[in-house]
Amino acid sequence: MSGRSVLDWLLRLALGGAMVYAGWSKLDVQETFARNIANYRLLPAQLNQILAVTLPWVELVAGALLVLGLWTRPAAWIVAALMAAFAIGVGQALARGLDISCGCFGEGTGESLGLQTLGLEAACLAAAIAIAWLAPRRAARAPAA
Amino acid sequence: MSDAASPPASTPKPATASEWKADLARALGIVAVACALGLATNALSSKPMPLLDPKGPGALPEPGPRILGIELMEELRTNPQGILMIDARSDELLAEGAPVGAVRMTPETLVEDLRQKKPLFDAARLLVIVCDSDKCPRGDDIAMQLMQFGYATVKVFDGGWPAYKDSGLGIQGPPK
Repeated sequence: MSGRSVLDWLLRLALGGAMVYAGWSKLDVQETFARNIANYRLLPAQLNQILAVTLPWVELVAGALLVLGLWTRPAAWIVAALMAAFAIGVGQALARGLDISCGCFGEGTGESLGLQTLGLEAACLAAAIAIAWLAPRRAARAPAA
Repeated sequence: MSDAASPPASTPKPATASEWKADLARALGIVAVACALGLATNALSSKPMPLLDPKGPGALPEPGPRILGIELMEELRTNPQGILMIDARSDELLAEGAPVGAVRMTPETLVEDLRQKKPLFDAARLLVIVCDSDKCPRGDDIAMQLMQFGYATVKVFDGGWPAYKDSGLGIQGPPK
């Protein structure tokens, strides 16, 4: 197994695992998650409710695909898009001085948003882009027909 | 195709336009399936979350009624037993101490907290919520939920924890 394959595998396992955990932890606390989304003060209640019901499943499915190595590139782009959207939400909340909890992992730890949240999302975004970038290289090594 | 014509293992092969389109289609498919799963499990749940309800979960809490430090001081002077302080701050502020006699509460644990500490929550008492700052929706969220549970006199401390510390009101160690 080459160094690049090991890196690809580690990134997929770490990011995919984190996404599966993030999605799973929200499945039983949808009302709490809807309130957490509302606290960002970006969307109307109706959209918060739809996001609270659907977003955990998007995280769960995309994360599982990354862990399993199936449809890796599309799954990585979904995670990258999610992380970019989360970073915008967190960034605007920090800029407005909102004292809210992240809501990243269900009922979570109760910690407030901070630059560390933004840093974590940036790291996840970079990992997702790296996975998507590494995926075509695997295809290049595949034997030609 | 000969080995010489094949790209070396270390050379990245950029995705073609058709690959990008296929990736996009698959990504949209994955998102659609995941959303359908979410909506279906919610619909089949024993306690489905209401969707498209402007007043349902996910509605922003209305700003709760405020109480100033000076008003609270007067209330504490005249009727100290008639007040219950509620500490709704985030965990990282706990090390700074807490309002004297405060009960720890978060929107997520409110129902369980009410059950466990029921004797403290006398409906006749004034419930004063202290949050991280004045831009702290948790305080308004707890106030709204307590009022929905029938507590008529609920107030949010104006200015939050920074204002509380400056008010000269009592501070004790972290609440139990």
